[in-house]
Amino acid sequence: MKTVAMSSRRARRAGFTLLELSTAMGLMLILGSSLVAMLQQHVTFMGLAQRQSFLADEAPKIGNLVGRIFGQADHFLVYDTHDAAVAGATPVLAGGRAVRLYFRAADQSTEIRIVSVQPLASGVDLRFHHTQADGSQVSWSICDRLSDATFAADQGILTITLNGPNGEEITYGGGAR
Amino acid sequence: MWLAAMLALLLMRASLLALDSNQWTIMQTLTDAYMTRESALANRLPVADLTAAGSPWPDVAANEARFEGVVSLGRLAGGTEVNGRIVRFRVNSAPEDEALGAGAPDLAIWRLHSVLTYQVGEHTYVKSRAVLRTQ
Repeated sequence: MKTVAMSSRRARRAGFTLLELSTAMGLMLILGSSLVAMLQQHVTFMGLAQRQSFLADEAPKIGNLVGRIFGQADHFLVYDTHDAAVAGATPVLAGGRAVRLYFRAADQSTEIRIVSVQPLASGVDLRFHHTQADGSQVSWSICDRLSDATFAADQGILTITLNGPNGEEITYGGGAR
Repeated sequence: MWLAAMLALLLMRASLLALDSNQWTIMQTLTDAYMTRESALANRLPVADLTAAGSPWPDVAANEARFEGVVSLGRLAGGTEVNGRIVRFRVNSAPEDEALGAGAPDLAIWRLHSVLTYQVGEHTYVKSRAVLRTQ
């Protein structure tokens, strides 16, 4: 009889009561849901930061590059499309998707370069084009994360308005020589 | 629980700081971009237009009222427009005649000032550019 009572007490000590288990599980649930909420909040903040990355990271680089290119141009003409710029069609004053830049070389000859906006599957690609001595066309991408970009000859200066992927808009000016 | 709450607050503070510094960078980007237009325009404007009545850069020494206006700096993510206030004026920067001596050419030298005022959060900031024009 004594042996049975001792083993029964030992069995009771080995486990947890329903109240203890419920408390522990409740705390774990609260902690888990807090961590999930924190993660969701962090993801939301990261999304916000990501949405700002065009103006914070991309636009200054494009502006620096385009500013240097525009600043060295002797004069410029704005065209509706890249093809119109290549063909030397009638220029426009605003809403152009291409600009033909004329650079004065050291030997006083004129070199022509084209910066144009070309459509992609989603958004547009801002590209710099030039013709090599052997007549072949070479181009490189300035930025392919834009939703749109337009050129204008505004009050005698060349402006480029960049539209970012999340509705951002920024305008750079130059080409005043 | 307290640990989780503290961790949540620390993470939130770090995220807010990151977003706040982004906001500052974005405003610098937008205002710098606007100032490229101001500098280009100041360099490009014909001197005849510069010195005419109704000049975009009025002569403050001649008691002309400074050019002031609200300008659009661009749009943030989501399409919110950002505005600033531009003030333009010009100052005669020609040296004194005595310094040049007799027979010196009649130089017109103007310094064109553009002053942009903008806000980041509750603070107001000013950015300026000056362009020297001679004739």
